[in-house]
Formats: sequence, structure tokens, C-alpha cells
Amino acid sequence: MTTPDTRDWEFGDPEERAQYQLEKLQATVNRAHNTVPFYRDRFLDSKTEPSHVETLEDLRRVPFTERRHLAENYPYGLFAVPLRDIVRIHTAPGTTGTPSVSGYTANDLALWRRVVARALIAARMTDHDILQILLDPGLANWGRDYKDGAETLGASVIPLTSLPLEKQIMILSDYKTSFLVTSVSGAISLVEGLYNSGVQPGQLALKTLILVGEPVSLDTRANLEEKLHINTWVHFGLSEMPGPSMAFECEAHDGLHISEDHFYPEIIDPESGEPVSPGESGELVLTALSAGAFPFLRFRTGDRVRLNTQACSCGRTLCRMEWLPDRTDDTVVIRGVKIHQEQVFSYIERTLGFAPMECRLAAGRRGSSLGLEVWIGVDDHVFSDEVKELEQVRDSVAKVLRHDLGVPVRVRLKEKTVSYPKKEKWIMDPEDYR
Amino acid sequence: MLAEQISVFLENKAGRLAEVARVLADMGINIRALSIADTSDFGVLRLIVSDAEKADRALKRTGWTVRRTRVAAVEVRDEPGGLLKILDLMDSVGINIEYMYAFANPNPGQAIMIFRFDPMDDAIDALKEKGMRLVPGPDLVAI
Repeated sequence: MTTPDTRDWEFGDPEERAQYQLEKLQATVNRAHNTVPFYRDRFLDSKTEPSHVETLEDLRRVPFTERRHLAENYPYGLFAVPLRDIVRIHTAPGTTGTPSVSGYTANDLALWRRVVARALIAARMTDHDILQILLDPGLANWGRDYKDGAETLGASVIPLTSLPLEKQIMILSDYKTSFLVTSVSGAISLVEGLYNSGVQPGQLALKTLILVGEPVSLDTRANLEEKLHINTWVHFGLSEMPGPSMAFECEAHDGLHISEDHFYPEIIDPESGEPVSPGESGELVLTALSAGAFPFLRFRTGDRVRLNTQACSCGRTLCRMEWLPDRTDDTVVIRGVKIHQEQVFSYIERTLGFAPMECRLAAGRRGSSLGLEVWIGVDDHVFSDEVKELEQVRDSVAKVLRHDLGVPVRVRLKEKTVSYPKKEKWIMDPEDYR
Repeated sequence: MLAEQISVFLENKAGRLAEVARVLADMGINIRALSIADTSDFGVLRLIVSDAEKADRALKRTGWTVRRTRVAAVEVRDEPGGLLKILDLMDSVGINIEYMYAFANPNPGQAIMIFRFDPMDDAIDALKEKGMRLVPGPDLVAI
């Protein structure tokens, strides 16, 4: 069992770090191959062996891991240690109806806390700060991770709760919160909520907003900073494994530093799977270097990024990613939570006992989404002469989705005659179709 | 014994009801009675028309979601207590009224109410036992 590393690679020499990364990579690849049947089979199918990974570039010979593999190996199929060594089990919504499950040993948690703390320190958090966590239930795991990371720093943490916005605003104001972690949509809701409650942003002790879950445009950031009199910092993370702040901004606000001493990044062309030329954009692929319980190899994130390996003015030598707005998969991010169309349709079918012929998913403008909208076309199968039965269809689907996805959901019953974009595509900006 | 009703699903948007009326008008179909049960987003339009079969086809052809339902057209004395008699009767035998609406008044002293009961058969039996008159579909649209 590896012990957590004590040497901090944040500001370290890139060449030395590359050697360290290679050692960790080879160890991880071996462990995954030797202890996880799924990975052993993947290697067999692609006629690769761990010994083929002699340089960092050789990683491209290892097959990818995709989100569907997490569902296919539900629940514990990808764990590399016995269950008794697992001290934390996290569940995240998956791409289908089956959730994604990840596990952590005590060492993993200790390490992960430090990774989050690193990102918070870069955002200038100290033990004098009061952190409030304002995330939708779908991001509850991130709520726990931010709490752990901030506690490691000695900051005062107001953990994630399910209190309504008005209560959150009361806490924000009365408890003198200085740091707030929220999604971009959450931040926009907060600005509206403050306006409605009559609390002046100038009265708040809030000075920093950490935005998570999706890329955010400069305009939106400037708008939030102006309205709330605060600084914004962006964090990138995954919901399926370790979590938030795998990449984080420094005071230069010029890209997100990837904690590449723990998560090795590659950028690939999503169509071909081949690495792109330096500086080109593509799909971010991540390989765990330090994970004990869950050593994922070449996980395709579906996020589109561009890598920057030049030195940063902050002094950190960790490479930076520019987080681009379009994803490479057909997932839509709503309030920071990744929503997969197939998963939503499977929940609907399970609830109604049949799959409606006409069913569209809609989300508001990126960064301002108030939640998921589900449009169900009322055909002969769905229709009932009685309003209460139609309401039952609408309400039962909304309730299940709200509960299982952890974001606000609104179900609308629509006439089936109106023409909408093709079924496979999400409807963005449903306001245009009203 | 029962009458035919057409139910149509509508979104609660301006102009939808007019569209339905237009389709029927173009086919020369007359609306004899109408009721809309609405929520903030959608409504169920219930119609008694002069030709249910033709209306069903025409609306379906233009893309509407339509269902045909059997309803009871019950003759009610057009005086205080006329409706109450029916409601009390249903109450006493434990039958639920899903919805109801009025039909045009054909003769002085008589009114006709359209009912959807649950369960329908038991309701018909109860009404007959009390000597209440149901107006059969064909007679209804001929009024």
C-alpha cells in the first residue's frame, strides 16, 4: 500500500516531476491490471501489457475507460482493494439508469483532502475564512470534498445543506461567509435572490466565489464580480471519481492548473482517439496516479480543453487547461451536474411503465440554467380524459427525476403536433419555443 | 344509452382552442356542448359534437390527440333541487362524479347535464332505478 507523498510537486521542476509521474503511472497501470478484472480484460482485448508502458507517451497504448464502464461494473467492479480497506463510497449519477460508484481508502481521502486544500490555498483561502457550500443535491459528494479540504486548511466550514435559497442568503449575511462554493447557475440564482431579499451585496463579508461544474464565460464572471463585489475563481472536477478542484485557478486567472502529480492529463481527438498536437483543443483524458482504491486509466471526461505547458506567473509549474464551452459528448451540464439523456429517458420509462414516443429534454442557456425541463408529447398512450391522471404523469416523472438527478426538474406536457429539433438533440433555450 | 364525447389535449397557449374550433367548422361539424378543464400548462377540452366519428377523424388527421369517451346525458328538472337530486343519489351509492357540464336547454322545464361517473355502469343502474331519464347519444345531438 503506497503512503501519501510528502513532497509537493506544485512548484516543482517539470522534468523531475515527469520522472515521478512515470513511476507512479507504471505502478498504477500494474495495479489496475493485476487487481481489477475489468482492466485485465481490457488489456487482453487490446493485446497490451503493463510492461509496454515504458514512457509517459506509451500511455496511449492503454485502452480508454468510459463512463459506461462504471455502470457496467456497478457497484464495486472497478475497486482495486478489498472492500474492508474502503472507508468511503461515493455515488454519482451515471449515463444510464445505473449510478457510478467510486471508493476511497483512508490514504486516498487524506491525499484528496490535500489536493482540494491546494486549490483553496491558490484561491487565497486561509484559516480566517468562513466557507459556505451552496450546491445542488446532485453535487453532494463535492460538498463533502470541499468541506474536508477547507477543514484541512483550518477554515470554518458551513457544510452543504438542503435549505432553501432565502435561508442560505440569511446564513451568507449573518454568519459572515467570506468564501462561497457554488455552480454558475447557483451564483446567478443567488444574485437574483439577494436582489429579492433586499440584502445589499456591499453588506456581505463575501469576497470570493468559487465556481464549479461547468466552464463560465468572461462576461458572466465579470457580471457576477460586479454585482456581488467579489472575485471569482473557477475549479474543474469530475463527479464520478475524486471530485472537484482536480484543476484550479491561480491568481493569474489564465487557465486552470491541473494537479498532474495526481491526475495525468492527455488531450485526444474525440473521433479518432489519437493525441492532438500541442496547443490544439480536444477531449480531456485523465489517469489516476495516486489512487489506491480506484485507479482509473485514461478516463474520457467529455470535457473539451486546450493544454498550456508554459510557465505561469504564479510560479506553479503544473500545466494549465483552458476549459472550453462545448463538450465532446452529448451530456448537458445543469447547475454543475452532468445530465445524460439516456439516463433521463430510462428513469422516465421506469416511472411510467413505458417510453413516451415524444420526449425532449431542454435546458436553459448555458450558465443560467434553472434546471432540467422535460417535454413529454401527449399522444394516445399518454393522454387521459381526466386531468388528474395527466397531472399524475407530470408530477410522478418530475418527482423521480428531481430525486435521482439532484437538480430542479420541470415537466411540461406538450401537444404532439408542434415540431421540435430532432429527438437526439437537446433543446437549448426552451424559452424560444414557448 | 350513453352519449359520445370527444376529449382533446390542448396546451394552454393562445389560439389552440380556436384551431380546434376551426377544424370542426371546416368539416361542417357543430359543437353542441363544451367544457374545458385546465391547469396552468394544459387543458382537456371535452366536446359533444354533431358527428363524433367525423370529428375524431378530422382532428386526428390534423395532429391532435383525441379520445372518445362515453358519458351520460341525464335529464334534470330545470328547477331548484334538480341537480341536487342526482348528486345526493350518487353520494348515497358511493359513486364518484369525475366531471360534469351543461347541455343546451331543449325544452322549458327540462335541462340536460353531461356526466362522467366512476363506475359508469353502476351509475346508470342507479339512475334508472330512480326513474331518471338518460338521453341516448343520437337523440342528444339531434336536439
